Amino acid sequence: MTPGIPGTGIGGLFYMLSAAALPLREGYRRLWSGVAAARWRVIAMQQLLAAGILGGMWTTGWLLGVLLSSARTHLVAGPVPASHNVWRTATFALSFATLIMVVCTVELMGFLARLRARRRERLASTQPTPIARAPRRIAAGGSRGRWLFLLLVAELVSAADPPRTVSQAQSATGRALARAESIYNTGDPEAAIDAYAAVLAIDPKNSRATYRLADLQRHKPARALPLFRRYVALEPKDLWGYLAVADMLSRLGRSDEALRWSDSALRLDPTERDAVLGKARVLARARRTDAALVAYRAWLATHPGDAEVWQELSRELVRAGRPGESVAALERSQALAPDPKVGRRLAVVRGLAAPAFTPLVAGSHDSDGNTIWRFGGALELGAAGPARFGIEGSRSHVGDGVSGADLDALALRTTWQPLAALRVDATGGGTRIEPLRAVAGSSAALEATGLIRARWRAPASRLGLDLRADRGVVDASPLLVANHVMRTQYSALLSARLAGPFTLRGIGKRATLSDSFEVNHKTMLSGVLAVAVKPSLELSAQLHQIHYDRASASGFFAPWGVQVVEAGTYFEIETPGSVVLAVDAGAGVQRVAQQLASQSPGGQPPGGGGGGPPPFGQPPTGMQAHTYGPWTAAFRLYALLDVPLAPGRAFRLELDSEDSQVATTAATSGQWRYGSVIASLRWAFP
Amino acid sequence: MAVRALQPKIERPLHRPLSGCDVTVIVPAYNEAESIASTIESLQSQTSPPREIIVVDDCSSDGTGNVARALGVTVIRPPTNTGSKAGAQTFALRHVHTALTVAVDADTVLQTDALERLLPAFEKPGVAAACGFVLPQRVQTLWERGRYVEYLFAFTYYKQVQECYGRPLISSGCFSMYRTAQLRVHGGWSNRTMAEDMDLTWSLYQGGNEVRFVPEAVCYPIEPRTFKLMGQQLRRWSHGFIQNVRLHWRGLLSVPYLRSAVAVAFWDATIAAALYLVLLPILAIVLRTPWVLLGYVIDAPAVLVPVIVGAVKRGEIGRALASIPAFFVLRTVNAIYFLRAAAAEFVLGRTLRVYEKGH
Repeated sequence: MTPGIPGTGIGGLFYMLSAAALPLREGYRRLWSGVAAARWRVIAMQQLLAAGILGGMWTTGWLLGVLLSSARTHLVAGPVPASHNVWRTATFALSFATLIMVVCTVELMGFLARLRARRRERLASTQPTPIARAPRRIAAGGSRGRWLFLLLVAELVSAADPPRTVSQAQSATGRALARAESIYNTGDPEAAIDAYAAVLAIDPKNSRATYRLADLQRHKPARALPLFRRYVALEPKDLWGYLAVADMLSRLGRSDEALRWSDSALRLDPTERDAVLGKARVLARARRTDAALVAYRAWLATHPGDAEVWQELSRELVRAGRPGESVAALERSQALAPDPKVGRRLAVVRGLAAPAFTPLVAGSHDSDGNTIWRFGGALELGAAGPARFGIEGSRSHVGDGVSGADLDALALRTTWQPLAALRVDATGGGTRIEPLRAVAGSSAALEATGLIRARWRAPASRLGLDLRADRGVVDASPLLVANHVMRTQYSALLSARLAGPFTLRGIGKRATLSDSFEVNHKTMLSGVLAVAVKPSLELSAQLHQIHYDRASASGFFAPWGVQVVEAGTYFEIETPGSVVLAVDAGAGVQRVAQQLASQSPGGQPPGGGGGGPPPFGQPPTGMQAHTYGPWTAAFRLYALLDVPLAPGRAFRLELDSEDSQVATTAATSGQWRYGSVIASLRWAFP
Repeated sequence: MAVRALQPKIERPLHRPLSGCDVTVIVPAYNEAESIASTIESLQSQTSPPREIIVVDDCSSDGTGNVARALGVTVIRPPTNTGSKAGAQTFALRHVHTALTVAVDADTVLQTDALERLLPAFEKPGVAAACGFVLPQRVQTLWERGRYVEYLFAFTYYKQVQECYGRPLISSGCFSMYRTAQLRVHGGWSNRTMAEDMDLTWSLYQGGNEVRFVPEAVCYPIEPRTFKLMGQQLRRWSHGFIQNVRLHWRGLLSVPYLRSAVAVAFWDATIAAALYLVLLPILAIVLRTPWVLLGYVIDAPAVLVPVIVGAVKRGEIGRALASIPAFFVLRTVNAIYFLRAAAAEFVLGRTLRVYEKGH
């Protein structure tokens, strides 16, 4: 593209003068900068061209003079006063004067722009930095002689390489910015940060430097955020500024603000990809997975060829518990733009979605000498939609060194996750209790077992509800198994995020422990105040109160009450190789209410045999208020190690250790300690 | 100035000599089945072949994508037509994973060493773009010949001088190499004007970057063969130039030499064009002599000098001399289109927004 009409007008003259000034410019550069970028051969060629064009222009003027004089000779009677030289000179003078006028007008505008920049500079700093002083000296020198022709020559001579030489024509800001950009391009972020800061010292309202300075510190969101905010104030119509603010707020966990900024960006251009996806990413980071899925799907409905978004959709689908759909999304991405990284990710997700078999072996031992061994496995069918089905079974042996009991369990299970925020797990089946060899007359029995659990989490994890009902065999000791003690428990956990990183949780459990002879009820209330130090680290203060309706020590330890106060922590560590370590631990103190302090001889608590259990939290009639024993140490630990071996194959190790009444459903004595290990291997079928 | 980048990456310093491995070529294509094979083959036969060639099949209906796919290059297709070359190129930018990106039109073939010739320009960190010498692939019709002379003149004379001052006016859209990080900083190629190459070049200058012209790197685009096609291209270019002047004039004031070059080009495209088209006929009428109309070609000696020099280097002096008359026709048509564009943009306020393919 050649703007203008080459050969005519002032363009030819401008470039001719430019070429003529080249030797002067090169000399200037050599003298002041020691740099000679342009090749002398090229310069010489341009000189020749300029000379040739000058000759052409002279010929043009001469021909024009001849032609017009000739025309006048025919039109006007008498002698022709004008000579050919008049036309030639007039043509050249007109072109030259026009060129001078145009160039000087531009130079004057540039000069005024620099004046404004310097005024801003003076306002910004009364003590100019070294960067700011140099242009002042240059500008002062430049103001000594500014007549028209020299201005043109100065323009030609001083149009130097910006990163290497100081130009009279550039403003201080422009030079500092050019220097910063040059450093930025070399890939030295620390030096670039200093350089852009220097630009802002000269021109605090320089939007480009503001953005770059912020952008170089994206990994420090708290530092970058005010800079991006300032950039938005300077460039309110640039939606990328809003997106950057949203990104920083999102990284700082301020999801609601981040969403508001994302919406502002969308208002500027609802069709802009980065604006649409920027909001989707904020939603995803805020764990508003369902909303993020809607946003990604809306974009893909109109842009189905966007491979990157298919990948992001896939990630969210995994979070939403839909690995089958996630596989389809990744396959779509691969079809559009094959990428080895995505291929590896696809293999992993296929492993999650595929049918799998998980054999497990578990062992536990407690301080009363009870040992449990369990061998079993689970088979899960492939994930196709929101529901997933499977079957699980195990054989357990419970022994105490004297006697032993065996249990066989088989159950169907299903997981249904219609929304990312709602998940329902259900298991139903039976446990066959083998007859005890040591107990004469003992017979086998089949007990129905099952579990149903619904978990709902509000967007951004503000509110969470976990409801659970389950029925199972209490297999803490051979005696409990022999008595066919069953536990039916209902529990609810309500979690509410308070201001900032604080979360309050309330837990309530009500369990019925029954065998063929008696029924007991256990009630537990807990309050937890948790603070999320990091997304992967939580600290908490916990208070638990446990109460049994019927205090007893026969078979399992059921004191009238237990109080536990502890400090807890939960953290997750994930390595680059996706090895995950999760730890949930608590340590504190507990005390147990002395049982049977003043029970009536009939075995009934004072207050009447038909009166039922006393109200929760109140000691039974006749029991002393000081029946709580001394505070003793409490401890619990749960650790999970998940090691992916290959796509679809993962080894998992779980450790559980308890010295706390809170952590178990049925301790067998008051001084109970417990430890268990579970090892499993998930093996997906290709 | 707006920075169009959500997460621009910081490029690693390159300590080894740049090679084709550092280059991804983007070829935007809309119904280019006839010409794209030559373009791809010329890219594949480069002395420094690019790491990847990405053809953006902008929803063509003539099988452009299949032709490209058959030649073993990456073909991507946006869900809907992007509406402009800039849109297609920017669509492909997200697929680029190399330090350098080359944009080549689907009707342009490169000299076998063109990429290799451009690479050294990027050894200097501040260089964000580099372009080469452009010559028409076919020189047969009046319009192709006119364009041939125009290119010989501009690339032998104007652009060489601009390069000596470190300020090539435009990094040509038909063949240019860019530093990918800078492209991302600027959000790729913008479609806010009809001349995305000029827009990007001027944006790069204002960002403190350098642009280089490497005359040894030669490319050969197909130029419009007919008046209709030439008219569409000139309309787009003339509007694009004026739109860019309106968009960038304030920022260009801080870029030495370029500001003057743009001002001079703007004068020649508007005022001088008006004088050229109006003054000579008026003079002919006032003076009552048709000889004045010779003024339309009277600067031929000045034009001939760089054209002949450029043609001699390529051994094409006969073709150049034979094409000179076509240049004056094209120049006149060019002036008309620039005046129309100036009137539409400045007087009537009718900004051209629809991108029409020029050939």
